[in-house]
Amino acid sequence: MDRPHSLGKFTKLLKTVRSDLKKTFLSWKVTLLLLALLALPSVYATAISDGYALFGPADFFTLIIPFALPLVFPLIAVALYALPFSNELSHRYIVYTRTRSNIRRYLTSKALANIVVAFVAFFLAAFIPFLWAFVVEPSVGVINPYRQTMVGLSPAELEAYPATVNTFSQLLSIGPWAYGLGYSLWLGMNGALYASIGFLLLLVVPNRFVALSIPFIGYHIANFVFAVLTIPQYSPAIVFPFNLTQFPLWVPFVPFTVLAVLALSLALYVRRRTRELDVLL
Amino acid sequence: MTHRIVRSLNFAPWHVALLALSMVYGLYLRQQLQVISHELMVPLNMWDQILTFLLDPYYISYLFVPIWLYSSCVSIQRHFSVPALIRLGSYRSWLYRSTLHALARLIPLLLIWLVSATVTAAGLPLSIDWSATSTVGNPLNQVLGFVSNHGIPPLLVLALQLMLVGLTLLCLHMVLALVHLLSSKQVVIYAAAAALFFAQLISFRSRIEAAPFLDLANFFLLHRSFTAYDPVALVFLPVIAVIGLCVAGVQYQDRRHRSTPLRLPGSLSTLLYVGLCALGLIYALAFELRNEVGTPTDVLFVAFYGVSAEGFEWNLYLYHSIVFLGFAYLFLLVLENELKARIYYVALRHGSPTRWFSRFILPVAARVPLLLGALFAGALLIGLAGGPSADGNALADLRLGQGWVLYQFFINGTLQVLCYILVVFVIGWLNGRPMAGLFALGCLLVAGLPAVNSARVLPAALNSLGYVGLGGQELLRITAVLSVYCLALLLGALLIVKSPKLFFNERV
Amino acid sequence: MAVIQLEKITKSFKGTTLFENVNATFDAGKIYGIVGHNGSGKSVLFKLICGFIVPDSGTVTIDPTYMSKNRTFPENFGVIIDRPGYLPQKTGLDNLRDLARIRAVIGDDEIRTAMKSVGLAPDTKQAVRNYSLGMKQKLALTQAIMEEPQVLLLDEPFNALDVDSVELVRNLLASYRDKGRTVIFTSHNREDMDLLADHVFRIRANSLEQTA
Repeated sequence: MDRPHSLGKFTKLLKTVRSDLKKTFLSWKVTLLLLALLALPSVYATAISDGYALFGPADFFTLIIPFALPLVFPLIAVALYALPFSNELSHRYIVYTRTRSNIRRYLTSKALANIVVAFVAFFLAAFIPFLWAFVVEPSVGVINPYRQTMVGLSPAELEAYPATVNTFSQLLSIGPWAYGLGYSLWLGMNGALYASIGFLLLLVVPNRFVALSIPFIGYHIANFVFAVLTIPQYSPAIVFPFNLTQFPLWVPFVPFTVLAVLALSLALYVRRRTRELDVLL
Repeated sequence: MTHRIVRSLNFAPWHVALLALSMVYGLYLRQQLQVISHELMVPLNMWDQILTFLLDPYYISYLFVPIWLYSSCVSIQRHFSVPALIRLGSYRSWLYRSTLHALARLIPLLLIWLVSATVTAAGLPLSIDWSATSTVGNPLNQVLGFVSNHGIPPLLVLALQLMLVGLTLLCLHMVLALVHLLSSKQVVIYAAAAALFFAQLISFRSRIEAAPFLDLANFFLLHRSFTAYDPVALVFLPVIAVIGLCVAGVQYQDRRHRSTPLRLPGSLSTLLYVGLCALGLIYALAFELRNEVGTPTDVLFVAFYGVSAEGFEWNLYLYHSIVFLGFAYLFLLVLENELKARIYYVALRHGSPTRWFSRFILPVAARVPLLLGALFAGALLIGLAGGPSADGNALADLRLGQGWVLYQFFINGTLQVLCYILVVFVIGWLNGRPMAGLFALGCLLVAGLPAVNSARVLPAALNSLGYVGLGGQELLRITAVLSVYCLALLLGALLIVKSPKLFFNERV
Repeated sequence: MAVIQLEKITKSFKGTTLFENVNATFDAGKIYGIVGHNGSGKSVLFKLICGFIVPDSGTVTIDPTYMSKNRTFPENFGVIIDRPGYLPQKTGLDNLRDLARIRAVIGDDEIRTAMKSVGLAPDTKQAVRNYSLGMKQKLALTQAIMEEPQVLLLDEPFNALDVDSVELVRNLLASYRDKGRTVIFTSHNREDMDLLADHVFRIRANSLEQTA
């Protein structure tokens, strides 16, 4: 009996998320512009690739991922959706939605839209460079030939070398698509996670500016503290593992899990105390 | 307020007498120079006369300094009153105001000095370079012979000498003002002025080589500064430090009287910030230096290495950013309060947006040298905990002169943090939302990377001690770059403040 | 001399003219009421008087007693403009202390007295973000009156106040007039105008007409 009712609720939720996403991406023109923006690093990296002795598409791929991204990644994550959402709170728009819609459903739809936007943006931030490095570039052949030798490595070892460079590059031993999709999923998930933390903090911390800046400030502080403790592989910066040696695949999931638990705790707190949260009153 | 005070700088009748006296003394110096030129058989140019006059110890110690000390005592007493304190709201504001009055007194005095020197040089050949007389090393011509050998053009010597004397005199004024605030007795301030007068007289006659920062003549005569400090720009540090101490002194007075109009959020964020600063210094000693310290500045050098022209180490750049951009973030937290609709009620009480701005920004700016001083002291203390370096050469390549390390840390450090603060202010205020300031900090974080800032023209991480390896010339260029940015940003901030449309932003 | 004089004031925002050649004089010891429909420019008028915005043409003259040469904004004016402005994380008393420290002419005692005079409890530990709309309005009123200003500019001071508080504030404003001070306020309530205002101005068709 309950099922059709829940299904109806779910459909309604999806509709809200979809309309929200439409609002976020505005139009195809904006979406195309964003895609072009995401493709820009690939073009730039190709242009400067002459100055580097690259040993294969995987090496080229790490060159494309913008070097500035690890520094401002949480800032971009909250800027995509949580920042515009904060206007709804600051102008008390959300208070007037309460009589028109169930606040929990409203917040859930917003949280889901936030996750989708951040996931897609960061997934593409890695996947477009992957396609460029592994599909487009080899067929065009701008960088050919890649380095064929490396001091101290036999041809067989050189072939296996790309899969031993960074964390996640072990996926290359399964195949390039496993690596490309695996890392893009990883970046997308982290983007969604940081965006969610920012979003949830907006509901919990009364000062909206502080709430939105915590993911960025906390990310850098945690990176520094873990570096001081000489365990950088457990720092949040492992989202971009390219300047560290290879670690087992479970290692990056340690900080991810900690942050996911934090996000879940925040979500539970918001769910339990929806009626008492200052920002919604 | 600033405008009114600066407008109030006018020439009193005694200025005419001083000008006449200066002219006569200038002509006397000119005669002496002619004699030297004649004996050495080499020609003079205008710089011989101008710089001989500006570097003359007798004129400074027997005429300029006593006039200044006396007029400071009179001015301080005139402007120190209970109604003025009530109106200004804090001792600190009073000190700033009093210093602005001092500036209005200083400018005519410096002009008289400069005009006398220039007018009495009339008839000598015009040049942009040193004369043959200056560059001849001879006991008759010790001062200019010594100064001209430092590779600095005469115009820069003139500018540095005027800046040095000007800043030192303002510093003395602030010391006297603080003495008056603490004692409130007429006899004490005059006694302090007399003590300063005799101290500088003694200092002019005999050097204190063991402690150059106690030698007052080093802060009045550039040729003495050249001997005591290498690079010479370091001579400004003790003066700035004393100014910082004066500001700290009045802040202490304010706190005693429970009247602190502005402060950085003292709670968790500041505590966390201080903890991270300390952690970075300990990390520099324990992990980067392996507990082995060669020179006192090793910990400072490693901790604030930041980036270099060749690249950067993630940990060191992170620490550098946490300390300096972190300070700007704390400022942003304060700025956030001012960006709310409350600004109407705050601005109305201050009386004018410019006054609000000066009272808002000056206390934060004054904290920058204090922050750097505290970090420096912390690095020294932590360095003491380390043992002597087993491999004394490990850092030898990097130690290109501790003087330049200190110059980069203090001078370019101050300018860099001021830049950060002003960027945050301008962007945050124009946009009306503090998040814009945070994005600006994010951009500065990226702009500091050597790959982005290879030409070192963007105002980010330019105070990295990693750049010390590029040599003194490059550090001076960085100072120039940061100064230009600071001035441009200050101008931008003042334009915002002066325009009601921008100042009240969308709150109008 | 008049406390405030507006001469040929014209002000537009993005093509919409709010005032055109407006003239008005406000003298000491009187209460002036200003009425006008929503968006007619009542708040803009107050901002013009305070110097927060500048007119496109015309002059706002403030009695020199309240406008020394080095000031952009008048001295000894108490204002409520647009909406209450406060730091939400602080208590009401702390908010007022912060503002009082700027001029430093009053201490804690005067702030507490002013809070009580509008019906606010000074020692409540409640942060302002948790205040009701009426309490925020009272806080705005307190900051306007606490330094005993000679001129009060109050934009809808009775908004969100309960009946008792309205009575309190009315008495307070009347006592200001009795002390020879000037009060200019806006309201949509006819009763406020009838009871308090010596003169009433109406903003209509970009001009300010004196109706009573």
